[in-house]
Amino acid sequence: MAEKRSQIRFILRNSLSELEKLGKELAGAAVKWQLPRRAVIEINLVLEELFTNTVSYGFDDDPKHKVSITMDHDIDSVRITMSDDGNQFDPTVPEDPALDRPLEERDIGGLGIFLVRQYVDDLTYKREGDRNIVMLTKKIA
Amino acid sequence: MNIDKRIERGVVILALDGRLDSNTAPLLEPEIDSVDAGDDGHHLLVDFNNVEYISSAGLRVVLKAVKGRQASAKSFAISSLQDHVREVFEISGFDAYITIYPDIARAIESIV
Repeated sequence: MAEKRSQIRFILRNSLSELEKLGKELAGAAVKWQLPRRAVIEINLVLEELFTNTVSYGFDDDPKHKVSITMDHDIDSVRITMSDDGNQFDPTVPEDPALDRPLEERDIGGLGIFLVRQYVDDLTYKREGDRNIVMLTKKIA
Repeated sequence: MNIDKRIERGVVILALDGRLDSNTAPLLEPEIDSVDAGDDGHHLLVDFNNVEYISSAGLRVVLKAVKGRQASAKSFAISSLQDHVREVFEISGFDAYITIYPDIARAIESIV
């Protein structure tokens, strides 16, 4: 059984300007856990898409909310929990980003969450009281 | 993200340096819009040589540029995609709509 390494936790305010902080926290995790560069890029993408969704749709412009992120590292994977008290949003519900449609029918809807699913090995969601709790696992090569 | 703009043989080249994400994509959009696509305008090439990260916000700006120039006199293309960025374009199916060149030199040769 893999031993649990130390955990990284941080909080983001509900503002897209916090993406910079997200990048910095991930860079710190990358150094601490010696994560491959490509994995860090992909984790960054996954968290950015989830966070952007939460900020854009979750809070009705109320500036007081926060998103908390917890990261754990085992030998071959990173597990991340992202939690907020915004509107209910379940990223595991499939959306169709219309991959095969012609150009005129394409827009950006559904693409962010679609990308999330391409880059995680497991994604679960639950609603606890007034909180969205998203948990994901990414295997590190 | 920095955007370096220059003109080469009638092609406006926007060379990006940095991340193309939800924060920086709004910097690129007006730069693209400012390049006239009409008969007296310019072909447009966005170069990704120094971009190692793109999110759906970046894809959105590129998609908008492709759609905007579909019926115009001047073309739109991108170049120099790095591994991860190329993969995101392919996974999302955008590589079917967008002309992608391996580098600026070959892009200019083909466009002009």
